[in-house]
Parts: sequence; structure tokens; C-alpha cells
Amino acid sequence: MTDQHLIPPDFNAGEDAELNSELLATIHILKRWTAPEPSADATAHLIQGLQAELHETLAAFPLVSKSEGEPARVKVNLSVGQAARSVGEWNPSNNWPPLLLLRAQLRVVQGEIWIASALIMLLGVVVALVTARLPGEAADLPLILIAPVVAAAGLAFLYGTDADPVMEIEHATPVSWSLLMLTRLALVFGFDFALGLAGSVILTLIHPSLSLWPLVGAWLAPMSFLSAFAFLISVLFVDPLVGTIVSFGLWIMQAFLRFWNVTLSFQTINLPNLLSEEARPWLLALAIPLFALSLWLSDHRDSFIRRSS
Amino acid sequence: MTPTTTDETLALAISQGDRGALAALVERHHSPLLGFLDRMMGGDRALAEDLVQETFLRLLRTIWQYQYPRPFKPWLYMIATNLARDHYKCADTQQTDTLIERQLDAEPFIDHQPAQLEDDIFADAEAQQVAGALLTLPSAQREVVILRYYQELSLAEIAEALNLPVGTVKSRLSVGLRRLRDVLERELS
Repeated sequence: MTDQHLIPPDFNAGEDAELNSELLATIHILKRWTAPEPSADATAHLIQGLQAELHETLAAFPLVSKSEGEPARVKVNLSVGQAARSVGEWNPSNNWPPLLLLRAQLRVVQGEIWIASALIMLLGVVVALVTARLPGEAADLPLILIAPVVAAAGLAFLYGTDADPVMEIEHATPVSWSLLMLTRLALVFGFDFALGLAGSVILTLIHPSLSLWPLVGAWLAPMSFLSAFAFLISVLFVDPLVGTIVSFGLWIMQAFLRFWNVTLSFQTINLPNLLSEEARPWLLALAIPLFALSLWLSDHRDSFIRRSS
Repeated sequence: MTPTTTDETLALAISQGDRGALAALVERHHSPLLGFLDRMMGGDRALAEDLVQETFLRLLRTIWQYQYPRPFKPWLYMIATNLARDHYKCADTQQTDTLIERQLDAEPFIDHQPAQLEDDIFADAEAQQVAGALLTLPSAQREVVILRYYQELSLAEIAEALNLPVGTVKSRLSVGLRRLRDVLERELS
């Protein structure tokens, strides 16, 4: 049997014959490294320990009998988080599926997202308070500029192999991938919305000239759009960093439009001002299909991988 | 359970509490999994054995969510790879560099040994060189090379195990092999 099947399939055997023979030699050298075999005793000992673990694991979940004398499969619920915790901590009284899903995903989302979001939003509020003392400065501008990018960065980092330390749990769960991602999106976006709302309340309390809900509307619409855009880019490139950089770049351009009141245009196309009041309904409307598209793409990526083999 | 029972059928049986299926699955995958983690850890057998145990434990704690007939092998190696990555993140950089230097500096000492042991010692030294060469690869390429040429997973299985597009798997394999060729040519000459 030829060894050509060992060569990576993107090599052209005709043009790189010498390279192929060198690579085949490399592969043969690799294969000469034989790994140690476990002893029969070691395997038996491992099996014994795992069987005890299996007994404990299944003892935490009651069997659901479908008919007399025929034990059914262990009842599967949306308690994804239970798998990540030690056996014995599961509380049967807290098994409302959406709540369980939220709690499970709360454990999986990177802790850095919560801390970084809170710190940057706090910074935005502080800057807003400081700059408000300066004549001619808008008290709400720092919060309006910072809130959307905080949310965008947080959502961008929800997707990707490096972002999920227990991805095998998600791949084993009976819940669809898109529902898992939707849960994470809701968690992070909800957290950032709460932070923005808290900052807005503080600003409106200190500056009575500001109104709460117009202020919230000023950052909520761009936050929704920019978050959806960042998440979509992350999914398309399977890299949260790309989503973050692209969304930041877009937002920096918008800051130029706002601060220097210039019109950025390429040939005859004028780039819209996403911070304008007129743009807000469009931004909110665009955010929904962008999120939906991202979820659909992330859910179908697994199927695409298998079909492309 | 027979030798022809698929991994997927065994996994489903384990999720229903079948201890015999668990024993069959472990007997089937203990050796290759140990080999995989041993190579990922640069020949550190003790560490590999710990990670093998942790892999099976983690698998067991989520087995009740297994969706039959989802391919089992990529899922198993996904868990093992994630554990290996977690270990890299926690490992001290200085210790890792020392390990690489020790592997790369390993010289065959056939000139100082009796002739009848020459083949064994050369093979052992060559194994050390290969281990060291693999450690010089970025972890992303090392994972793909080991899964392809030692665990003999298909490109699609590797893509699923590592949650990557197949194209990315191919490119990492190509680049990794070229780098290994260069390193091994230098070390084995």
C-alpha cells in the first residue's frame, strides 16, 4: 500500500515530488516514536475507579421508568451546569430549564468579561463626571461612547475555541448550540445593559439637566448594533479578536464623525453617523437580524465541518 | 459487548449505567489515549497518566448528556486536548523551556555503548529527538500532527475534536510537518 495517503492533501505530488519524499521521511521518523503501553493492572485499576464514579454520577439523577420492568434512559434535563459541578450538589427543586441554562452558561462565560466590563463602564462614568465640570462639555458623551464598545468586546469574546474551556460539555448537551449561544449573549448583554443603566442613573442624579431614558436610548441603540456586528464578525472569522478590532475600528470612525463633525466618504458614499438620533431606530432594527444570522451561522458550523470532510 | 460494538453504542450504554460497557470502552481507548497525552506532554508519562484519568472522569461526568449517535472519538480527544491545553496554561514557562532544551540537547551516545545495544539506544535517542522536535511546534500545530499521525484520526474527526474548519486543520498539518522536517533534519544529522 502506498504511503502517499500520509501526505497532507493540499500538497501537489507532481510538482513537489522531492518535497513529498522529504515529508514522507519525516512522517516515518515520527511514527517510529512508540508511546508506552499501560499495564493490564493499570487499566483494571482505572476501570475500577471509573465504575465507582459512574455509580455516584448516576445516583444523582433518578431513573425515569417508562414501563414496568423496563428502566428507561436517565432523564436528561437542561441542567448543563450540573455536569460541570461535583456530583451531589444538584438540587432537584431548581430545575426550571431556562434558569438552569442561564446558571450553566454563567459558569462557562469567561470571568474576565464581567470584570473588564464593569471596570471600563465605571471609567466611563468617572470620566463623564469629571468632564461635566468643564465648560462646553457634554456630560453624557463618555458613557455614550464607551457603553457600546464594552458590550461589543464582551460579546465578541463569547465565540471561539479559546473562549470556551469546557466546550465538550456544550457538544454533549441535548440543547442546541444556538440556544446556548443565545443564552450567553443574553447574559453578557444584559450585564452590560445593567451597567449602562446604573451609570446613566448616576449621571442623571448628579446632572438634573440630563434625562434618563433619552440618555439610555443614546447608547442602547449603538450598543445593540455594535454588539451584534462584533459577534457576527467573530463567528465569521472564528476569532474574537477580529470581531473586537473591526468593531472598535468602526466605532473610532464614528467618534471622529461626532467630535470633529466631519463627513467621511468614499467616492460618492457618505458613511452614516451611528451616534445620530435618526440612526437609532435603524440600529435597533439591524441588530436583530445580525444576531439571528450569527446564531444561525454558529449553529451550522458543526454541520459544515462534518460535511466538508 | 463484542469487539465490533461501536464506541457510540458503548457510550449510550454507559449513560444508562452499564458498567460492562464502561470497562469495554476504557480497555479500548486507554492505550491510545495514554499515547496521545504522553506525546502531548513531551514524554512525561506520569503527567500523561494523570491526564488520562482526568479525561475519563470528565467524560463520565457528562456522559449522561451524550447524544447518540454523535461520533464519540472526536469528543474524547476534544476533552483530552482541552485538558492538555489547560495544563500548558498553568505550567511554569521556565519548566517548559527546560524540558524543550533537555529534549533538543539529547545526543545519541552510541559511540559509548556496546554494539549489541546500539539499535535500542539509537531508537531511544531518536524518540527523544522526535519528542523534542514536537515540543518546538506551537501547540496548535502539535495537536493536529499528533492526532493525525499517531491517533490516526481523519481530517474531519480532527476538525470536530478541535472545533476547527477542515481547511485550518490541513494548513496547520502542512506547516507543522514542514517545521518538523527542518528541526529533525538538523537534530538527527
